[in-house]
Order: sequence, then structure tokens, then C-alpha cells
Amino acid sequence: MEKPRDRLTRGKAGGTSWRKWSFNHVAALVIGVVAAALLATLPQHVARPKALLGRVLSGLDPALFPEAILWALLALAVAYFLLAGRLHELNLFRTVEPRGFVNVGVTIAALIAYAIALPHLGFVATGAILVMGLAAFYGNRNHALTVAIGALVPAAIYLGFTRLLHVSLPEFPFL
Amino acid sequence: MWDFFVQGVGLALRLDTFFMMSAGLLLGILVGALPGFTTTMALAILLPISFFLDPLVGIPFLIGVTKGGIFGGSIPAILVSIPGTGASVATTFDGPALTKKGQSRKAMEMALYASVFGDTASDVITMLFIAPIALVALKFGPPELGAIILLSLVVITASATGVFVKGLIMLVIGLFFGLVGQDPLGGVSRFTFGLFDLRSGIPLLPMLIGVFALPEVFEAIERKGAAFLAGHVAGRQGDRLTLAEFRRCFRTILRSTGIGAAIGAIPGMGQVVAAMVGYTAAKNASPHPERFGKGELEGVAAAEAANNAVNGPTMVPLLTLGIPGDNVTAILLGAFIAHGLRPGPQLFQDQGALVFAILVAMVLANAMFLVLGYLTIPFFAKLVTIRKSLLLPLTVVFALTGAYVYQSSPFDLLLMVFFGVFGYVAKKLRFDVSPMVMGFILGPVLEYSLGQTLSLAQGDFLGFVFVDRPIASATLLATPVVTYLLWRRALRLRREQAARAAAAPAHEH
Repeated sequence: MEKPRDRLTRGKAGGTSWRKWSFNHVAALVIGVVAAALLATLPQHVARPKALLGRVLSGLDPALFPEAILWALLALAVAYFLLAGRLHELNLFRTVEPRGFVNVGVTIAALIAYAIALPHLGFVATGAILVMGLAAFYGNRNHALTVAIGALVPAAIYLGFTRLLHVSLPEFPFL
Repeated sequence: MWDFFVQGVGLALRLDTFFMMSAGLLLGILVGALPGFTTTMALAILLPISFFLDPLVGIPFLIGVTKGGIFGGSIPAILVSIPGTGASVATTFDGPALTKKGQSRKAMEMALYASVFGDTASDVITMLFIAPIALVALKFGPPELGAIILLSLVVITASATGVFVKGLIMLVIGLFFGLVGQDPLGGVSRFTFGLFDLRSGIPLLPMLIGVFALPEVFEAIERKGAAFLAGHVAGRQGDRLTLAEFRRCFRTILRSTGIGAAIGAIPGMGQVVAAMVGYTAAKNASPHPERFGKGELEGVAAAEAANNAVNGPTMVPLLTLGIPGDNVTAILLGAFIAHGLRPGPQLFQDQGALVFAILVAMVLANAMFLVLGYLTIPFFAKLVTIRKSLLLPLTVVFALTGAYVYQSSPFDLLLMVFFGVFGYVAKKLRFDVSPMVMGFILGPVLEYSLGQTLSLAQGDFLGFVFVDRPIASATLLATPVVTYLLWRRALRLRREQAARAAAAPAHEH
């Protein structure tokens, strides 16, 4: 099977016209819509400047720089949209198999779960569960090694940070 | 400045500095030797360790990681044709061919010696030139600084991989992320979206770890099991490098060092460009260019001397102007800031001895680099085959720990995941995250300079900048010209790529 790749030249080969809708069009639209939405709601996102006896204390309006940036983003999104038809790039998501998305999704879910569990279960327990769980999920079949590394490495990191660098990490909750 | 240098030498000669630099070098070589793990990723993950050390121990530790990482990347590039880091891409042209000939030991030693020479020479050049540049930079005010930042951002964006307009979009997104929190002049809350944790802005470290470390992990696990190296590295490593072979390559090493040092001083260019230019120059200058790509020791020497020679000069814009030229110096900037040191012209006035101590430590690190690299080559060569199914979960735990210890906030972990997903999506959609990181770091400084310039201008902004401040006006006028030239260059490169892509099928069939 032929591997998908970038087509940087215009032409009929491959049957894709330069006018065809691409991921670049979608990305440009998303960026443009976000920039426009932020511009429209700018007063809600920037607090009123501090004033003393009616005079604003800062020489620069706190909304000026954000407004300039968002207008620049909007203008660039329009330029990107107009150029998108000429950019014959391959969307690299197309090279990922369905199983790949599952793997990445599971890892992201594990990271979020770790962030939530860390203050409750402590650093060592959360780290051990994460290492063992992910190692098993990634296909490591040497379970004794997985358990050993899963238990020892988070404990070593914990001791290193708390004892040597004097940094506080969430303690093991049952001790 | 001479006094600062003498004091700096005294400050750098500390046992704990040497110990942590050695640790950094070994960790750097270790990470560089693991295919798919970059120096930037290692730096981002190890950055928090430096926060809890004295600046003269923590910053040299990170410099050790950088130096070791760039060399470490050459080990898998030579042994299995997989560049451990981007900087080692040019090493894959000749390294694997030498391995096939049973000369991998020669190639790895040549990579080590060329790297150490390039690095040392560029560090000495940096030490000689940084003081005069800093003296000039001391005369810069907010208008000049703002104009130089603007020009640097454009150069960095134009040097990023991919389409120019996409680079600009990432730069502006980075500037936007830099707005979150409080404005640098009046302390007014902006874009906190009702989240208390965002009141002090997006923390640099979780963001750096998120965009640099997590996308690499996600990409590695896309093909579970299949991407893990199972094979063995070619058994025999062969003879050691002889003095005659090193002498034969010395002109090439010198040339590549000059190329790397010059490229390193330009923000945004980096090691990959230096290695490619160094390699091409060596091939063009060689009486036997046909040997290149087929196992020529000079090819390895050219690439490795050039990519390591970038290290010293990248510190010039960082230390004199506070402008990080690449991802590595962006992370180092984070380390300086965490220690309460703001790189820029003022740093030389307030902490001149410390700056020179760091530069002296960089030179001393090269001596240790030579010894440690020589002793550990056989060990690190074995790491190429390590199982990633165990390594990746450990990397994830290190990344999470690094993001957490910065402020001891679980919210930072969620931010890190957010930026990890952002970086992954950006990579897949062909956006380079480097301009975003630079925009995020330099945006608040740019806004601050703009505010100060407005105050100094007293209502006549254009007259003040374009009449009273010649350096600022010249820099601002140069920005669109440089942008146009870089855009033309990018267009030309794309056309060449297009021509190659069009020619490729003809060769295939």
C-alpha cells in the first residue's frame, strides 16, 4: 500500500484539486472563530484598569495589547484560510491508526486521573499505579520487573525530592 | 568586566558544581542515546531539579544536560541510523555506514572529540565577545529592547519548520498565552476565565514540559509495541580512532566549529541547521565528496562539531538581551527566572561574576564531557535497545513530577496535560510550537517595553522612536525587510522541496 505523503506540487496527479477543502481550511476557521469570539468578549476578559482620583495609573491601556494580538490572530487566520488551498500538506492524524488514538486517549485519561488522585493517594502510590498501569497497557509482559520498577522509581523520586532537595510532595496517605 | 571574569573563575571552581555538571552530562548522554527522546524534553523534565539548587550548581547542571544530550543523540544515529535528537540527523548520513563496516567505535569517538572541540572553541569565543556585546546592550532602553524582541520573534518564526503563516499564527497564539494572568504594567487581571489558579498567569514550566515532552510520548505510543526497538545493535564495535584519522579531519572540525558558532548567534537557527550546513560545507570542500554518505569519518566530524559549536553563542542573545534563540535557551531562561535572575544587559551589571562563572563552568564542563563520554560510550551504546514500554511510563512520571514541584499545585498538572494535547495536535497539523513558546516568553517583556516607551514618548510615540532613538528605528525598519527576505527564502525552499517531491516518483518507478 502506498504511504500517504505531502504533495507540495500543484497538479492532477493524485486527483486532488488545490481548491479542495483540507484540514488547513478547518484549522484556519477554528482559529478565526476563536479570535473573533475573544475579540467580541474582550471587555469581559480584561478587568478595568486601576485608577487613583480618576486617573489611570498605567500608561498603557491593559486591553490595547490583547486587542492588537487578537486582531493580528484574526487577520492571520484569514490569510491562512486563503492560502490553505495552496498548502498541499498531509494531515498527520491520517497516518495514525484507530488503535493509536485509543492509546493516546488512554494515556491522557491516565494523566488526568493522576492529577486528580495525587493529593488524595499521595505521590508514591499514585506514581506506582500510573507506572504499572501504563507499562502493562503499553505491552510490557515482564510483570515482576514492572512491579519492581513501578514501586521503586516513584519511591526513589519521592525520597530524592523530599530528602535531598527539601521539596514537599504529597505524602502516602496511610502513614 | 575583567574583574567579573576573575571572580567568576573563583566562583565556578566548586566541587558541587562539578558533581552536578557530571550528573547533567551523564543524564544528557543517557537521554540523547535513547531514540525518540530529545535534549529539549530532557531539559524540560530536569529543569525543576535546578530550582532547588544554588544557581551556580543548577544552571551548570542544565548546561551539562544540553551538552551531553547533543552528543548522546549521535550514538543511535551511528549505531541504528535513528537520530537520538534532531541535531544528529546529519550524523546518520555517514554513521550507520561506518557501523556496517565495523567501525562504530571510531565513529562514536570521532563524534565525541569533534563535539568536545566544537563546544569548547565556541564557549571560548562566547566568553571573548559577550562582554563587549553586553556593554553595547547596556545602552539599550525600552524602545531598543522592544524593537529587537520584535525582530527576534520574526526571525525565530521564519526559521521554524513549516509554512510561514502557520509559524506566525503560533507566535501570536504564544503572545496570547502570555497575556493570561496580570498585565505587566498595571497588574490588571486578563483572560483568567474565572479560574483563580490563572490569576498569576500560565506557569512556564508545566507549559514547557507539556509542549516538549508529552507530544513525544504520545507519538511513541501511537504504535504500541511496534515502535520499540527489539533488534540488536551490530555486535563488533571495531578499532579505536587513531591520531592520524583525527588529524585528517581537523580542518573539517575547525570549519564546522566556525559555522556552528556563527549560526548559534542567530536566534532561531539552532543545531539542526548548523549540522546540515557544516556537513554540506565539508562535502563541498573535500577532494573526495563521493565518499560522503558511504561511511566517511569526516562527515561525522563535520556534523558533530557544528551542532555542538552552537551551544556557546546561543547564550549571547540570552544573557545580553534576555532573548532565547531556541527551545534549549528558552528552558534555560526559565531556570534563570526561577532563581530570580532576569537575563539581559542589567544582569551583567548586577551579577557579572555569576554570568562569567556560568561561562567558565561551560568550558570546564567540556573537559568532563571528554572524560565521561570516553568512558561511557560502550555502556550508552547498549541503551539503544532498551524497552520503551517501561521507559515511557517512567518518563511520564518524571514529567508529572517536574510540573508539580514547580508550585505544588495539581492544577499545574492539568495545565501540563492541556499543553501536551495542544502540542500533539499542533505537531499533527504541521504547526511548529517553537514560535509559540518564544511568543509566550517574550510577549510580556515586549508589552512592558511598549508601555515604558509610550511613557517616555510623552504623547509623541512616532517622533520619539523614529527620530530620537536611531537604533530602535533602524531595527524596526529592518523588521519588514528581514521578514520579506526570510519569506522569500522559505518560498524558495518549498519550491525546491516541491521539485524534489515531483522528481521522487520518477526515480521510484
